[in-house]
Amino acid sequence: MGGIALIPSLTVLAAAGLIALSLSAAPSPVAAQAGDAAAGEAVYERKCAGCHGDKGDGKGPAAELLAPKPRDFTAGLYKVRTTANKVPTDQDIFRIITDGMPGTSMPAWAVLPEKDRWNLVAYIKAFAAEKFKEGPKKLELPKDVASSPESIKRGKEMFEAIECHKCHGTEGRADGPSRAELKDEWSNPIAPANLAKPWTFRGGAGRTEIATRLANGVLGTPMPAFLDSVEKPEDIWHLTNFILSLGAASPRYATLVTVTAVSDAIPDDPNADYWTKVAPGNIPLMGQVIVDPRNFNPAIDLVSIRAVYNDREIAFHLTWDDPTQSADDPAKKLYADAISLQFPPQITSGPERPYFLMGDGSDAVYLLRWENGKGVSEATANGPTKIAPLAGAEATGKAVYTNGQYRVVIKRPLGSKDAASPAFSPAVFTPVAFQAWDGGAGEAGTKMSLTSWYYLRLEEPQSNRRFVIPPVVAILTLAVMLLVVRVANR
Amino acid sequence: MSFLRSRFVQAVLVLVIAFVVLRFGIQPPAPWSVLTLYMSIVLLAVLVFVSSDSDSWREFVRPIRATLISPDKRRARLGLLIALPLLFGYYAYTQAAAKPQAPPELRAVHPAPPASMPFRGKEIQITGLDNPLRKDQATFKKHVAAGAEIYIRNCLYCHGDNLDGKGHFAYGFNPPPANFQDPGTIAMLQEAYLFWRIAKGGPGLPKESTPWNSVMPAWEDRLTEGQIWQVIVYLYDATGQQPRRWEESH
Repeated sequence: MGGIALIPSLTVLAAAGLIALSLSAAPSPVAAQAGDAAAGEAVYERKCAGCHGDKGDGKGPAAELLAPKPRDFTAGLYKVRTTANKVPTDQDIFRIITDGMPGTSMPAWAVLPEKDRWNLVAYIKAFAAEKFKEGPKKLELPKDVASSPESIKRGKEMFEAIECHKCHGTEGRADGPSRAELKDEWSNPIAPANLAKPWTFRGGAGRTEIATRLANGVLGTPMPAFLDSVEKPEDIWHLTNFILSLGAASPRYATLVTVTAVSDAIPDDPNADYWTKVAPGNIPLMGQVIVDPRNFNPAIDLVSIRAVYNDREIAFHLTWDDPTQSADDPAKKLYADAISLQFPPQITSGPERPYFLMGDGSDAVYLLRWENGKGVSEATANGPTKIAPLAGAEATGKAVYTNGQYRVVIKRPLGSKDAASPAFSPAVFTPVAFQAWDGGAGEAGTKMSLTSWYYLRLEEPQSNRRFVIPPVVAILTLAVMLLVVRVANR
Repeated sequence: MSFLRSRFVQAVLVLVIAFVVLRFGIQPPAPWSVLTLYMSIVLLAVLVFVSSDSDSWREFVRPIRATLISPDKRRARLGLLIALPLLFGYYAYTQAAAKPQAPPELRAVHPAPPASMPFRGKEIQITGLDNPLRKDQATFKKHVAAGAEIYIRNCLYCHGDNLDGKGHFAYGFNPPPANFQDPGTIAMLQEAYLFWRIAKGGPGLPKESTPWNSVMPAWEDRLTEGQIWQVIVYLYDATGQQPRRWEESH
């Protein structure tokens, strides 16, 4: 006991890398094996019943926590199929067990021996044996059309023509007008996919996978099969190309927030062209599950931060997806959308800092907040329920909301006269944490998504060090070498 | 293969092979600082070897001297005079232009537990404490099943379905959730240690373990003493690990 370990924050990066890898790897066709349902039952009891239930009805003890709900195998409806009818192939079921379903609670069970996974396929099918009487019918996809600006344009036209935007939103951020009415086969509310985040696509984000989903739909959900509704069969591929153009393939999470040094004035407008030139850092947000009410299924899973500073002020540009713009209306269980950045009140060089969840009784944190309807404010918190506004606050900001996305600029002076508010200085690793609330999803107070501590660093003003040092080193090396040659020749 | 008999070529070969083995043979890869240390030791050993007697040393130095003096090696000499300064200059550039990385978090992963701790108004002695649920074999299975349910309702989102620390939230937090399948976690700890960690969570850690970073809740607010013991027997049962036992006192 008592070992010291290095915990590099690179683990986050590695995880993101793994996700990216699993996305880019095309699913290799696996030869089907006949599974033994009786042997599968033993594995099922140990590994699957917790969510999918002993009877396969999706009512395991964890089910009430999870969103989306675990699949009810007794209905025999499978979301992800490569077939033209409602019957999946054994390989389809095997692949989902092996790779899991991104964006849901279904993990990749590649850790189980292959034999066990085939046995599970046989056992799971037995919950709705009558649905498999008709064999799977092979889906014939039209010939692949490579992505091009024309193809993407055609895909966008089709996207509107077949009304994808009604659920998925104009820019694919799951903010369509019908989103609130969507129910699955079991009458549970269901959210449309955010098409700008392909790493959360349930059936994978490969080209063929997306085209297949478009062609044969997602069973048990409101997503229909579109192969017969598009004008020409190859429109499936134009749509695929359009969808893949909506967002980056992987989130590439940041481990450090770099604040760029600038000399000019910083614009207030979140839509200013200025901000597109600042490199963003993507930060993953997780549910707050420490104090009640716990938030196991946070609505906001990512915030993108751009930050700059000049000699007077520091500015944060935050971008995140939220399908609804909502203000406080407690009668309707709606709350104001909000976001906050958290810092220690004093930046010290030691490892100690306040408790990551908005501080505690003994150590407070400083919060830089934006709330829909109220704007930017500064506060001190001694825990998530003990937030007090800061007197003489100087922070300002501006927000815009378009097509399911918030963009907010928050500015404040670089220095500070108040002991409860930090002063930022270049080249110092400054702890920072984030919290976000989607009021439209009922998030308020302690029901939030958050991060633990990250680092933020104000980059030193551009120096020419990197252009001066290398020639000096090269010349010194040459001088030493010439000296050696001379001495040797003497 | 006569050039293999040259002392100089031998020395270079040993260095190259040592580098390849150390760089690619160790999984997970060792950090550069460690690699540099190992390579300096290898270099030292090689120098000791080639200078073991004066003949060997002369043979080792001969090609180097030749390159520096010999008129028919002018081209090689010129090449080196250009290549090496450029190489060093490039290295200096990569160092000067490098983007800073987030500093590593140093923390004690398994700090020493207290001898006793308060738990819901009473004092629990940790030293020498055993899991009371292991005494009665008849009810053991029932406790494992109850522990499984507690686990999936509370622990799943971080520690994962497969108890490998890869739950929904795992990649968002630093330090990451414990991987119970790893022999370096619960297999080397007493059950009383787990009881302390589960009951007091992140906020109950000593300072050397950075309590302000840990997102582990203090479960004493949510679970009873019996429930914590149940989830502990589930952790060992589901992973097939055995808890460490207290040393026999004489």
